[in-house]
Amino acid sequence: MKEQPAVPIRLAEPSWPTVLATTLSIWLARRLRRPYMGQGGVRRADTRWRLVAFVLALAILTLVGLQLSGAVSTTTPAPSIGWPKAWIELLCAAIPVAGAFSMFVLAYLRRARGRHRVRRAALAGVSVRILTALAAVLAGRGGKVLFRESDAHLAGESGHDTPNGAKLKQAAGFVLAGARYRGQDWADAASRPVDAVLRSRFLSGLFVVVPTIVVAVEVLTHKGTMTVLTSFGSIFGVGTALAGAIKAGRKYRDVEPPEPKARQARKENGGA
Amino acid sequence: MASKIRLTQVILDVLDVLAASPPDDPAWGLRLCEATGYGTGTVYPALNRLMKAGWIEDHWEDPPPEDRPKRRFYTITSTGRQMYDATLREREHRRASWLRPAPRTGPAS
Repeated sequence: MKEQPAVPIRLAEPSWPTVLATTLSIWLARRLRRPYMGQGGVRRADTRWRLVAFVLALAILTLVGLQLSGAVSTTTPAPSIGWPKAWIELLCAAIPVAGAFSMFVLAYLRRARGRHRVRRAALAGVSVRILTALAAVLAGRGGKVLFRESDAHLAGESGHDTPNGAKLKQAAGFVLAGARYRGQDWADAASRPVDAVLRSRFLSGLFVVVPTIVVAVEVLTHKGTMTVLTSFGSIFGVGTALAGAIKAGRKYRDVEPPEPKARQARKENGGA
Repeated sequence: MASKIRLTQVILDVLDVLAASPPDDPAWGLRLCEATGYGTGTVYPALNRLMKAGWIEDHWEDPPPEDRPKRRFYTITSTGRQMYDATLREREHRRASWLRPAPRTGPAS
């Protein structure tokens, strides 16, 4: 008897919902259930589940906050629950921002954990660069030179020092130096007119006399002649204080005004 | 033109190092920081102030090295040295006058 050829058994094809469910489950398994990454590795599944829970909690908190504040209510405003509405709205705005930032930090930490040294050194290098660039911007005119100088400084005595915490601190010092460069420039610019007043007898005199006269005229206009006489001490005090300021300024800035012409002439005549 | 500057302890320490540096091995930023013990945020503004006052001058490393960034060297000028010496003398004189005991004016008993 002739044997019949074996007919291959054909299994029924799965339905579309089954295919979709299987695809989704594989995808989820891949996304959320990663195995250990070797010895000492990080179990990503834990971090992922934690992240998912964190984001869900944030979303729920935001929704609850919005509901409480009445921002999403389409009918009557929500009954007051005793909290200031503005604070709740501010909280609702802050939660997603803080959540996004935390997720970013968590994601970074998770990535950085695997490749400690290289990443940390690269990060330090970038931070140092950013700080020295900031210092150059702050320094203004001398910024370019400071930037080149900071390059040589941070390269160290060997010229090939790698960026690390100490270098980061030095780079932060350069930011301070840049700010102080700018401060010195501003102080120099401000001291120019001050020095001009201190050097000139005429301008110093104006600086003392004009405000004193203005005060006297003001008192005379609003309070009368008698008050000018009675408050003579105060008006005189204004003049004295300004004269004292000029004297102190000359001493501090080490500035000497030229001698009066009469005294010069007397000296030339031999004190006669 | 050299001008007078306010002499702080930082400025004096920096000038001490610069005055002691030999001409063939001048001081640069990192060495000044190490020698004085101050940070970069203190030493470089002091150097900038001294440069503006004309007490010190700078020059970049020449020829520039190929394997590292070129350095900026600082040397004290003759004017700077004169001012520095004069300041030191003045300080010594002032200190001596403070430490000197006041002369007795009353009749000895």
